[in-house]
Amino acid sequence: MSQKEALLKKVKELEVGFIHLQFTDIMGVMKNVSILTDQLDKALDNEMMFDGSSIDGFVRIEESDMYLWPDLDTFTVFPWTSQPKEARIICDVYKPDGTPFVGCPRNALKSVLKEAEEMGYTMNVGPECEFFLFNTDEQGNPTLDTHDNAGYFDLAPIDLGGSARLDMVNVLTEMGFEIEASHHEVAPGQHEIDFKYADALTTADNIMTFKMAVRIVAQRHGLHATFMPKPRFGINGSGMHINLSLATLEGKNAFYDEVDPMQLSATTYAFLAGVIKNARGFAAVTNPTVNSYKRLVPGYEAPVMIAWSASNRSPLIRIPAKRGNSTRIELRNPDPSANPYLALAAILRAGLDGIKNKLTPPDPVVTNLYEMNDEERSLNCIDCLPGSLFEAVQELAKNDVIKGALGPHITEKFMDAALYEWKKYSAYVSQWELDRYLRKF
Amino acid sequence: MHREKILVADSSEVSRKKVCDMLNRQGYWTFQATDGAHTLRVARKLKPDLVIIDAGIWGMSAAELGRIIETDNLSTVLYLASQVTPEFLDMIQKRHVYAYLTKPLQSRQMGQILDFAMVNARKIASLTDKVTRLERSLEGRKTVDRAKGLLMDQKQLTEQEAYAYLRRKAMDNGITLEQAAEAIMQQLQPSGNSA
Repeated sequence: MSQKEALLKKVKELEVGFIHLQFTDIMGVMKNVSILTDQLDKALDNEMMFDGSSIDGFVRIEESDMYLWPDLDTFTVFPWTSQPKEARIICDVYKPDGTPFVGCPRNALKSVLKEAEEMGYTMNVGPECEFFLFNTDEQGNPTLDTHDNAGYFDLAPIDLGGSARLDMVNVLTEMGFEIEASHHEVAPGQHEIDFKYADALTTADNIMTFKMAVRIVAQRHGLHATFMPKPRFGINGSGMHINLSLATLEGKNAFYDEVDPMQLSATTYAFLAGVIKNARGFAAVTNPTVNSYKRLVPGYEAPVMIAWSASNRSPLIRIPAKRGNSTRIELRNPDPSANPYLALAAILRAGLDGIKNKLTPPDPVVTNLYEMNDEERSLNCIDCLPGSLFEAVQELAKNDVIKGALGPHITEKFMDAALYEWKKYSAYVSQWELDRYLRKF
Repeated sequence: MHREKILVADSSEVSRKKVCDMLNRQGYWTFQATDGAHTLRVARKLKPDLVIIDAGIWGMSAAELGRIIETDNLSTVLYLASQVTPEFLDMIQKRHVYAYLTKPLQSRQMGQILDFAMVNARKIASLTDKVTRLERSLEGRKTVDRAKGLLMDQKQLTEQEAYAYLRRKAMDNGITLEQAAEAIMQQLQPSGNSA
């Protein structure tokens, strides 16, 4: 029995009524083309078409016919549905001529993964995703207020958040996730759920699925889940730390070398050097919103300076203690507003750049970065991440390695969208400005 | 005496207060919610005996709201509607109790329907509970039978010997017969093939 026939049989046995063909747009938003089960046969033959011009950043009207090619390994039933059950399959976007569409972020990641494979590597990724749970007001708008409307007892998100998070873990487990940790985070209403590492493509798929499931379960608990990087000044923001390692094509961890004083291989150092060299270039991809840069400030455990360390908890890259097969680096600047396909593509290509060009990283940092002054920082060759989305986009424009990870089409659309955001944001007169200047001048 | 808790979910303040007044006079303990999300937050905290949902509630479809409340075993749902359409009746067929309240509310009608709804909801809950327990027990028996079969095949035991083997394993490890059967199956059939 072919994989297609096996899937059709499974769908029938489970009595699934609807299938959602999912893909992600350039901005990292999940899109669905929903079909009835009787159309699944056609979909599995790659015959489902949609109008690409209806998706922001995809194509112009003249080139709008796009096809969805389902990845059968991603078939998952939604556990919160019944009568009828609903399921999803993640798809790649293809052109009518059967070639992969260059504007599809999943295809972009696959291209970089192929580059890595040709160099003899695969990449494993384990993300740590933080998010906030907020109440909603009578109009259904999320509110930063922790007191509930018409409350008899304080239904603060803190109280409800815990049981919602438990439900999220159960739902994700039913969907096939291996949850490694789930806990309350530093800020009130903030939570974190970590799941087991997998190859980069699967992890990117998992991150999209995770965000979808968290939002839906939060809704079922009457809460609003947000992955916004910095919802409120003065409290910790939400990051998405990326734990990653390269493996040889035989599956052996390529970062471990027991002979080295830090037990890290030459590959690790070269990869690190590549990531550090290109960090300012990929910031626009790993931190793609105006709000992302409000998180990347000192004092809230988010990185600002580009450095690496095994002991320090504050730099851009941390080397967790575990070795052997668990040897990995932790990149701490990405936030959950990032498109996971593009973020992983950019980070991987940055690392590969280091390996290809046999780069050497700067020395690791041992002192507290936030307490270093400018002189100490330049002695340690420590640079900073971009301070705004505008700065980040300018850095991206100069960086061929990262532009190569996205491809020319996505690069152009991505930068256009980011600059549009920046322009809108810059033109807006905020409450802060009114409070500060209205009376003064 | 146990006073029953009823959560009234209605976006109109006037209508919500009127319903609560009527319920209070009949001796119920009432709580209020203003929109879909609020209803879910209160229901999860409170676990009321009944949730009365106005069909026009804001923030979420009344149908979806009722479905979540009953699927997650938070309570039983009763709809308050001013218009009864075939689609509405179709929708409530999927709920625990096929009954509803119409506006304008009348005390006596409401009292009877509420009694009916809560008594039947309790019956359904107890039946559902019993069915779940029976299903679990049946699954357990099937697992034990399959494990016995494997033991008989692979260790050349008779049925009684296989059963005794399983029982001894369970007792020695302080686990149930079903758990021992699962473990034996994992051991003897490591391809992990169970249902």
